[in-house]
Amino acid sequence: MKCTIMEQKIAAFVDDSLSVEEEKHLLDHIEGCKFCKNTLEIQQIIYEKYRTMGEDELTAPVDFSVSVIDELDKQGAFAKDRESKTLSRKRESKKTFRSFTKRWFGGAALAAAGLVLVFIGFTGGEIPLIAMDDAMESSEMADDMGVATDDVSVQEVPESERARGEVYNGDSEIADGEPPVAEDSENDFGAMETSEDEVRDISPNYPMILAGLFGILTGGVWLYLRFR
Amino acid sequence: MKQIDEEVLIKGAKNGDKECFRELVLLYQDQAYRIAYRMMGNQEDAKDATQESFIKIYRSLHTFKEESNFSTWMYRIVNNTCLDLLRKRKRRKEIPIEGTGGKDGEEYEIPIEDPGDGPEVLLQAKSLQEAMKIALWEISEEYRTAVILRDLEQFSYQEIAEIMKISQGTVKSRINRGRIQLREKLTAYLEE
Repeated sequence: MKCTIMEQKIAAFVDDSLSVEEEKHLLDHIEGCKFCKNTLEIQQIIYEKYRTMGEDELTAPVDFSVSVIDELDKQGAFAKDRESKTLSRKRESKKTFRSFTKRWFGGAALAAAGLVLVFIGFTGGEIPLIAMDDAMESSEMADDMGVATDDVSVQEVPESERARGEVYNGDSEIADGEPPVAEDSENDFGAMETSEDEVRDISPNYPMILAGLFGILTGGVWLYLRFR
Repeated sequence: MKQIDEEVLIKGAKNGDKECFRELVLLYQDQAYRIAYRMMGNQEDAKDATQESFIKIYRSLHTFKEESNFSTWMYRIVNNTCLDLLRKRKRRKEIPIEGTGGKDGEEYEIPIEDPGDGPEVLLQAKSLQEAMKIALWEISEEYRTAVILRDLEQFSYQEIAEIMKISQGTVKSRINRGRIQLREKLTAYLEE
């Protein structure tokens, strides 16, 4: 009676591919199954025959390697390779440079944007105004010190200039005793005072700082993942 | 030492060095030819298949990663080239397989119809060796490759898995099924 229970195991048994347990199981089965015992014998004979067939002294034809090289020569494979070696190296280095810049650009841009945001968040972006204010402040101090200086300058100003000042003063109401100042400069003085207060009183812009830190972190992670 | 020599030859061949590639061919031509012969069934087709394989190997050298095993990479190309040629020739309806045991022991060709045409051809074999060649031809392509690489060429399961690009489990399964089919066909011949 045909038995196919151990068919796969018999096929694997012939080249010692079974585990110790599987082999024991098979041999135990064969003890009581004539069909499988016969199958195993035939399988072993056929396996040995194919192994012997594989040991024949079959070799490639004489001058086979020469024929391969000749065929490649006919196709111009070696000449093409030598010429294209420089070109392909240049192409490769261009590709490498392009892919390198692609790889780091995104991450670096994010990190840089993050840095800018953090900076603006802390300073309010007002460093240039601070510098201006400092300059204004020092000129204001000079003004305070030098009312006398003004007097001197008034004394020195020619008639035509004074006339200009009087005409100007005529445009605005001036209280008695007040030094004659141009309208604009008075307003500027007021504006300067306001911006000075702002400069002295900057509070950090936390959302912007957080956004900046997030940008730096994301950029850093990007660069790490690209280059690891 | 052999590993280092091979690395030097591969590097040289990649750079277009003719001599380096010729040395590589000499190193592997015999086993490549044997695989092709088992797959194709006759010497003429085996020679064509092997030559075409080495040309493809040269053309593909730039894709070979030096961390991989060169021989399994190379035999994969040989195997695939043989399969491609067999598919083209199957359209011919006849594939010559060299037999043995003719008059005075000379070799002759046995025209083989497509597999599945019945056991008649195998039963007409003049010797067990001829029957074994025909039987090998008659089992399915994927089982045939696995049996050739394992039982005839003695590759390990790991190497066969790399050549055929399948898992070791699938390799074992295909080898076992191939052996079972061969046994069934040859049992009928032996019983005649």
